[in-house]
Amino acid sequence: MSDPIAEPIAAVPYVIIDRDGDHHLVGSRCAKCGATLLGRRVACAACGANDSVTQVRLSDKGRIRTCTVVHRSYPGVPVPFIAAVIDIDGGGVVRGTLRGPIPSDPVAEVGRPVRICVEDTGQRDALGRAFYSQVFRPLEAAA
Amino acid sequence: MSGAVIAGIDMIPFGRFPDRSLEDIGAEAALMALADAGLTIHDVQAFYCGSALQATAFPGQRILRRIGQRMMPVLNVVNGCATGAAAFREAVLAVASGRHDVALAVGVEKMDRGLIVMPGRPADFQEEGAIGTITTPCLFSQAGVIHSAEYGTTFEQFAKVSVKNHHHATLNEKAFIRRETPLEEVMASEMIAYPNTKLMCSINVDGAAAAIVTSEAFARRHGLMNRAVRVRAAAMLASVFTDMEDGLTDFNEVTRETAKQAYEAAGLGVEDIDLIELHDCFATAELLHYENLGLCGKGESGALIDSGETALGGRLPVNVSGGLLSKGHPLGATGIANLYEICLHLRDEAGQRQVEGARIGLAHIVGGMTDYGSASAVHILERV
Repeated sequence: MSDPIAEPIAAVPYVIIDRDGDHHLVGSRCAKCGATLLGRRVACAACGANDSVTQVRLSDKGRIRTCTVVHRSYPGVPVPFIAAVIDIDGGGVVRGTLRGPIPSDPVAEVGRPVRICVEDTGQRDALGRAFYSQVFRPLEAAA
Repeated sequence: MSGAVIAGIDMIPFGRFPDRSLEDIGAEAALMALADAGLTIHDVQAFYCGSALQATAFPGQRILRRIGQRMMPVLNVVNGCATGAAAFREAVLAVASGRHDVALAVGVEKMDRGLIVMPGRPADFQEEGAIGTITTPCLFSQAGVIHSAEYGTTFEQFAKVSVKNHHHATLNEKAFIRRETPLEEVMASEMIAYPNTKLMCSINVDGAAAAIVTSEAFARRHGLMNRAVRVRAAAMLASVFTDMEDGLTDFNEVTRETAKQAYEAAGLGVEDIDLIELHDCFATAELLHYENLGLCGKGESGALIDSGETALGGRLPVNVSGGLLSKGHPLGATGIANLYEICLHLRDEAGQRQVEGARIGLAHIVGGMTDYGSASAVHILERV
């Protein structure tokens, strides 16, 4: 974060870094069975068709499928944090960290809408480039 | 699964053995199983060795050097938490196919303490915390939260699994934890990831277990049938597709489908089962698997644990060994240790925790890794 001009690189293969800052998640959609899969695929994991998968841009909105508050993690990882799994609007599922206040009851968070943002994680590679990945931010239910 | 029987099976008490090597404890378990069968290494024709963490370092060969290098193929097996069950199933298939009369399966593990470090993750990017979590307790916590959101299953109901299984373990001298843990203590224990507290997590320990699988014809010829246990089904599946696995490895559908195959292969239903050892790596998992294995309908597992029917003395006892929550979970050994518990009951050798009149038992395992997939095995065993 201290280095605003660090060149962004994707921390995970399904994050697309856009020259103009329009970073987003990429998925694959199967024309045969309709499944939406995270990342670029050569075939459909759901139905096995290998001639029906096309690349799609995934939405930047979704809803919490599940989450937990992590109180114990690997050494050096700051806790607590909210580990969430998001059903992406229009198809696809992705995991990540949910920003915002730590909920007293994670069960009550299920179904809440979020925005999926691709941002600087603060981590740098050996060349000083910035790892970007998805984080989730709560959206008002009315949005 | 025509013609395969377990002629001998045993496990060492699980624990922490800093002064003992992987091959030391693996060899001990192998010799115990051979002695249980009344056979020696000279009778063994093939050896399947499961070790989730050391499968690339010839664990089977190292054990063979301890117990006798007697002209046999060794296959080292790795399949996450299903490693031991996978090694056992290979032994069953080797015998059932007619290729071998006697096969040895060993599951063995030396574990570090603390959260399991997943293999094959990015080295230069710390994903944990940055993009959610990959630790195993969290995966099963997230799965538990889904169940709570859908069916209203409570923290208290999940915690009751630990109370029950720890109670069972007080009757098992081979379990690592052997003390009662009242509900209040389980719930007040350190929160790892809601709703799993520390007392709702299995423990990393060292362990080894082994089984001797023979053809029924061999067992009859050698007078081994009086203690033999028949393998009625040996089902295994991996990574059955669900619409969730890009965000959370699914342990439910793969268990359901594996169980379905096992029940069909055995020609049996859950109503025929007298006891179950299932994969209670975390307390939340046990309730999910009540439903996945057909003990109750969807959403009914909370009521089932409340009813007491899955406790020793109940209608269908689950994890009377104390489960992984009490025995500990040495990844590669667990699958065979579960089978060992079932065999004890089918042979009327379970002592104080004997499930009276047990005739058919089911052993279940499922493991998985975030972003990678899952592996599940269900074995159904029958008293001869």
